[in-house]
Amino acid sequence: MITPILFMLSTSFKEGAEVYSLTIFPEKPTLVNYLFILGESKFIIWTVNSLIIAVLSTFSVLFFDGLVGYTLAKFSFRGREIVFIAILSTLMIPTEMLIIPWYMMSRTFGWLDTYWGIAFPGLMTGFGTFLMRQFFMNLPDELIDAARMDGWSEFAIWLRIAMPLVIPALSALAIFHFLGNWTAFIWPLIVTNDPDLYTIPVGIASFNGEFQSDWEIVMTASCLATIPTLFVFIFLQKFIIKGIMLAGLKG
Amino acid sequence: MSTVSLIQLNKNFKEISAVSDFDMFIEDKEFVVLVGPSGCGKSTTLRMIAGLEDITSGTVKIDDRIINNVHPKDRDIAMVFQNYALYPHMNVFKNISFGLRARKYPKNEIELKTRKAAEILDLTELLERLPGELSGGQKQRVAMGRAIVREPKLFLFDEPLSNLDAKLRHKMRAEMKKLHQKVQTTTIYVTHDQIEAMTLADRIVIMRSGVIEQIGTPYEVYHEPANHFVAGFIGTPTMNFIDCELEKTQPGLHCQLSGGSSFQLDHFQLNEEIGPSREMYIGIRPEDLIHVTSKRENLISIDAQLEVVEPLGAETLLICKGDFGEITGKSNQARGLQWGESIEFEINPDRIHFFDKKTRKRLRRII
Ligand SMILES: Nc1ncnc2c1ncn2[C@@H]1O[C@H](COP(=O)(O)OP(=O)(O)OP(=O)(O)O)[C@@H](O)[C@H]1O
Ligand SMILES: [Mg+2]
Repeated sequence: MITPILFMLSTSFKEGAEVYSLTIFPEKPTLVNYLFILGESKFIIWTVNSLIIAVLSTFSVLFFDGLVGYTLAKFSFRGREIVFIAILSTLMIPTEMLIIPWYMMSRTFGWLDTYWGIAFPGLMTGFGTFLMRQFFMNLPDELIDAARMDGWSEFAIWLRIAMPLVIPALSALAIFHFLGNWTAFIWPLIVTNDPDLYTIPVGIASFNGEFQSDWEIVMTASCLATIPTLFVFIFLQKFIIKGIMLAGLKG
Repeated sequence: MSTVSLIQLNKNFKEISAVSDFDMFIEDKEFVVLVGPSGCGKSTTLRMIAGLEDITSGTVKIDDRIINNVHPKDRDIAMVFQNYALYPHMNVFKNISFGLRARKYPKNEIELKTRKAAEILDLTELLERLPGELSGGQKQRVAMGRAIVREPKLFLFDEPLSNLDAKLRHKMRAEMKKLHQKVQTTTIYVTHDQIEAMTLADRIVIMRSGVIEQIGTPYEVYHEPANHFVAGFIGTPTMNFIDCELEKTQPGLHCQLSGGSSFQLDHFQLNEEIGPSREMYIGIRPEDLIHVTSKRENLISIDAQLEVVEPLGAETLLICKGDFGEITGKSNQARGLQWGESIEFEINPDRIHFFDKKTRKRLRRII
């Protein structure tokens, strides 16, 4: 499992000619690839693009999936089951099938080559809504009632009581969504033409020319691209552990 | 400081009627206790007043304001829940002050009020703790603190002591009473523990299957129960019931117990005409069945065979079997009683309750 990652790392320190020799340690380690990526390519811009989109869409997912999941779990209203089933059924549709409708939508509304165009399919997810609903179902109704009696509005209760108590679920969802978004390739590729709007995966793919691939460059970019995901993971993992401790205290 | 009017309150869950025609006026500063067996609609009534449950029909008023459609947050009512419902992610201070923060009190006032409530409830040392780090009794006090800190118009308690062990429950019961004497807020308190009801209440509401069976002071529900159900529900050990047939005689009533025993009640008349005879239950509380050792003249008494002796310390319960069924009586003498021994119990005719067998209503003695 770790071998491809080691090769990725080692290749990033190799020079062009050496790429196809399968040694782990480069004979002449070099930083030219890194200098190229960081200096001459648009990698920094792509990173910024990726970060903006992944962070915004992760927050959006936490907010909307949390809100809808809570509503489905804790309010009874007519049509609740139907809404829930409708959301669940979106999980059964593969992304590939949605790309054409998304594209047509984006063209109609002028979203091609915009951040919004790249991000909109991921602003809310059926999976996250389902996950949050399941967690909120376990939240005791008495807590919500107590907060109502304490004088808080329904939205404030969601924000101040319900959401903090499902932080482990939110963290897990955030990790999944962030990573999924960070590595998303097909849709950003389709919706963007302007290299200034590429996300990292699309940008990296663009190093693969039609006739020739600069693997050492691709690998270097990939190495750099994993760094933010590591940070996100380390940062959010703390919340998962803390949340589990809190869950143990409940009741 | 408020009055509460509950007018023809009804609650149906789909077809099931959980509360029907609940009618009551609660005075300012009154402590009202709802009791009844599990599932009789106590919590549902409380939750309708709180606004946590929609009202199927009827009216809830606080003072003169109808609050049927007011969101719970705007009713100015505080509620303590059975499982305390403390916010697990907030420390004690934040739990108590959470309601004040909702009402946008200035910061120093929140601090002041919260510390004062904590002091009243002896929680000052625990303010930084999370609910998970508290014992049951401490959690219970935090839940109380959350209610009193806001100085609401009305307190609602839903079985607040039922998760505590017997000793702590006893202690908190006394605390509860002291607290009410101190803050004097109108209170509605739900319990299925009738001792709690008797000790705390100004008035008790006894419910069964969503219907009010009786509203009265502890004295009234104990000594003048409205019907067979109330008589059996209030008091431990429970009232003894014996099937009997009442016959009118001159000058009084003849009471023929099932099984053969009988006694005569002279100069005795009930508030309803009983005709030549009428099927009844008589009810006698165990403390009104006194074990007599020496025979006296003109004594109204019944006989039974001793089955179980339960010494309670101050007094002794005698569980006996007569030809009319099982009865529980009391004795001041714990020793020297033999299994199977014939026991004679004296009955004070004023302490006999008569219940009509069909309507189950109590008849009163008028002469
Ligand atoms: N959400 C609900 N949906 C359907 N039926 C309900 C609901 N809540 C309560 N009931 C029914 O209403 C009746 C009264 O319930 P309630 O909770 O008020 O009883 P209770 O007197 O508080 O009992 P307990 O002492 O067990 O708490 C019960 O028969 C119960 O099954
Ligand atoms: Mg209840």
